Amino acid sequence: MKRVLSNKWSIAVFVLPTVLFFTYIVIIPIIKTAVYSMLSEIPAIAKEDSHFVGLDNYVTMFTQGKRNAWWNTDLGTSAVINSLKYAASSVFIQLPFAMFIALLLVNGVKGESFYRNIFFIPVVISSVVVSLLWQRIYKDLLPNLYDILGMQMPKGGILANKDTKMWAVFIPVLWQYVGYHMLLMYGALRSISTDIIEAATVDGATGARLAFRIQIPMIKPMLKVCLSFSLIGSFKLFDTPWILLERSNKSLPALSMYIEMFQNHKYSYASAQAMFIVVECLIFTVLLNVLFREKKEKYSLPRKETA
Amino acid sequence: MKKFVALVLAVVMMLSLTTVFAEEHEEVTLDCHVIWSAETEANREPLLKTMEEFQAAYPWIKVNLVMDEANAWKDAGETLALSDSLPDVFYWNAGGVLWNLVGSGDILPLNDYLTDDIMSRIEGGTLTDMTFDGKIYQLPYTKACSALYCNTELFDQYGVKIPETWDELIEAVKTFKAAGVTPMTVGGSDQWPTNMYTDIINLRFAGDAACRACYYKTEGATFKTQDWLDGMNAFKQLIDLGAFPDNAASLTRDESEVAYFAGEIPMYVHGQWFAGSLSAEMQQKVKAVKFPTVEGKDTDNQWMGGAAEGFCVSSYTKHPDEAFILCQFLAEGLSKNGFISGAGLPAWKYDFSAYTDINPVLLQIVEATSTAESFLLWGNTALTGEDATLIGATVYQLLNGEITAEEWCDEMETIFQ
Amino acid sequence: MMRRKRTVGKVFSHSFLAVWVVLCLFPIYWMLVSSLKDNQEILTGIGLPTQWLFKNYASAWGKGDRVSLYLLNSVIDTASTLVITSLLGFMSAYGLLRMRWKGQKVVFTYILTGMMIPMHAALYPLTVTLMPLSRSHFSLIIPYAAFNIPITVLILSGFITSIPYELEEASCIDGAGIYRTAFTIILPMMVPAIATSAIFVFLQVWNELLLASVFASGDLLTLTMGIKQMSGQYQTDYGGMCAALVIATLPSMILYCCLSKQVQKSLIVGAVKG
Repeated sequence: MKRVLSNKWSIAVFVLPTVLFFTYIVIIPIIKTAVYSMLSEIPAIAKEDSHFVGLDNYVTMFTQGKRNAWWNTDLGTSAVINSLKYAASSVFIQLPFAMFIALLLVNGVKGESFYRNIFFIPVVISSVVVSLLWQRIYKDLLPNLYDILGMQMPKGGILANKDTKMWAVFIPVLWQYVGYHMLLMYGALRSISTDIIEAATVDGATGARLAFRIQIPMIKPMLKVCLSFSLIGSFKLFDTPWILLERSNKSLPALSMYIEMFQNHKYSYASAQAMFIVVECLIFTVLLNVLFREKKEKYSLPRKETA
Repeated sequence: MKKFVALVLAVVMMLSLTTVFAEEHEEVTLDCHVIWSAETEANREPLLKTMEEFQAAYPWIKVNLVMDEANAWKDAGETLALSDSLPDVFYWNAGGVLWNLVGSGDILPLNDYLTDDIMSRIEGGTLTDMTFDGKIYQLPYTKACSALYCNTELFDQYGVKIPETWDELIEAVKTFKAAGVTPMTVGGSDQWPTNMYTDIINLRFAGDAACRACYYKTEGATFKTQDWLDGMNAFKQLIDLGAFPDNAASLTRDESEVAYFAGEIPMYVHGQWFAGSLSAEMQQKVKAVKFPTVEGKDTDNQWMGGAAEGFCVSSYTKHPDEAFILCQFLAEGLSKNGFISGAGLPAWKYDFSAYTDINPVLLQIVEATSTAESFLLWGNTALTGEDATLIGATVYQLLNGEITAEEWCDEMETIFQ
Repeated sequence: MMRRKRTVGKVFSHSFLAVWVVLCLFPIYWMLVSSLKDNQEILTGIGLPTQWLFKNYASAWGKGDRVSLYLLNSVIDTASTLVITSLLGFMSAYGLLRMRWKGQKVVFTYILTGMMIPMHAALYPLTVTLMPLSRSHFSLIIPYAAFNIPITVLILSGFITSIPYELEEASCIDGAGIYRTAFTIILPMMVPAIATSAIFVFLQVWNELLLASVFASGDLLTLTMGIKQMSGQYQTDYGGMCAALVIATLPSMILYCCLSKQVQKSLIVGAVKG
């Protein structure tokens, strides 16, 4: 039996195709991107002029310049800052909202599964469809609404006005994923053992107190999942801004990378931006792990294995 | 028996003949990539018709035709070139965009294939932006130019004269605006439609030579002259007068044109292909005219446009002979079919007298350009990469009120240094 | 007093949830009713259509064989991706977690690192590698499959380790080889797990835009890319546009309606594991 399970040939047959395939399509391209990001320009374009420049491309990203959309505090529209704004709005508006709904549902509202199923619908719709829908809402419905309220439309339209355009992009994304976060939190809240809740109720903890003292602390691991979703998502945000904003807008990291790569053909510079996105995602992951590590020990969790 | 032998001989001869024939025309498959994937594209039907004609004329050349959206193909084509995988024959822009691919050795020079007979059929001057160092890399299928499209119905209704000078244009804008009619439209969100306005205005103020020198980065050329500043201030004046819809910056080109098609907009500056998008009813109402002239500038007969689009053969095609046949056939065929259907101006000589129902708006443009002294390619057509992105982005900012005319000149100066 | 407080609370929570139900469903409702209206009506009201224009669907579906073609492309891409990820995912999960060999942990971790890496980072080199395939469905299927293998392996790993080893022993005693054991004994038991991972991957691939924007062109456009491009030419026909959106949304909505529990479960698992 053991011999059968340790047969080198069988192991190779089972594992090797995946490993090779995965390496060739995922790992090697990423290594290539890392290398490209440190060249003056990729060999395919620059031919023999292509040379190693170290971290110059990364420095350029963070050098102040009038046309630098990646990082420019003067413009107030820097891609990195915008993505942080999205992350902040997700963490401070979307997640609390999702949490509130999850708590309402879990604390016994009639028809909770009905609500849950409805709230989850936007999640399964393609982000392209969602963006195109909101585009029509912004362009066809919103002017009417402004009319009814007797207010002036923002100058240039909501998708062009400097003060409103980023929010016009964030709102559909926030709207779409509230249901996802709600479901994740709901699942975690559900799996808190009823004994704990009952004991707390007997002690007189109800409503907000129950939520803040018992329920929320107990689902911290799931909060970590939600947080990493929001943070990593903010750097990968692409579909919605690409569809909603004007051509060649570079005001979000993934968007900037795409434009530099496929429109401006500055491949090395774009590779540096891509690598930055990867590093940033890793940093956030590590950061969250550190933040949540200590807490994890304090509360031992009776979380049900979801898988 | 004799009969049988004769029959056998005949059959053998037939067979050998067909093999010879087949050898001469071995079946070849070519990849061909063009734009006009959208049903609404005026060039779509003419192209498909040309393709049918090609298949009828050359049945042994099989063509895999892929149609794409213009911007998407421009970006994808440059990427394909990096891995030497451009299709055998493809649509491409002329000028700097073409030069890019020529520089990296992706395009086949066509001089060896272009017989005197073929050359004599191409309209003069159309190969300017397709020739580098005496080598011809592309064949045009159309001449482009921009014009001012006036809806005569609205002009009559409000008693406005079709503008011939800049001052008349401003008057017209003011009159329409006062009557509650949005005078012009533009799809700011797509960026390049705004360049249609700024390019022609700059041409009127700064002139062909100065514009050409600046865009092609000639030594000593500068954007920081009074002419450029006047031009951009003139455009700014239009914006400030409310010539464009309030939400122009968030409209795509298609969205912006909806109101024009509905007969609500009196004026629009756009390429000649717009004439092909007009409905039969609108074609009767619309008059295409030369963009208003500016006094004392001596630029009255200069136009934006030229032969800016055509077909190329990739240098690594496995069947260069057949690819050239296809490329030449497409260029000449689309030139003819496109003009007949009203999509564009022809770049090849052809006797059109038999066709009486050609788009009247297009004929007006042919008439108006007959005295043209020069054509200048649009910046977004002639340029590539970040330069093209930035000339779009800067006029977008101007349209959206984010920068002033002075700042625009400064920006351009730094971009094109 | 207490009871009254509870009723007030209940009324509050129900009305709050109801408001959110409306906000959640309004865009979808609007898409549905708009898909049956003409332009004039779409721009002037949000009520039900006065005339139900089903011809919008016909025009969206039939326009140059477009939406139907895009739908077919998406089905081909997604289905092939699912077959590949499920097969390779199962095989490697089996090899990595059931079999015993040195370095299995290292290889397992190696594959899981793939989940930390966003597709963006590999975009350009992938473009060059796969460009020769850009005229076939493989240019999308290959990266979709490769990038979804890690999550599949991870989801399957949770299940596969919970299956008792006695099964294999018994089958070995019966004289069945390892491949037969894996594919006839273990694989059937893994079907629910594979379904979970497949639903997750389905939603990822069906809705993907970034890679599709690079590789899909002409007749190979996927639904997401196709409707994005169509949105331009449909500006004059909002009804047809909305009909196209409905058609694009239907497959995932049908999946969700029939399997809402499984869909929710697999998205939870996908998020928690990822």
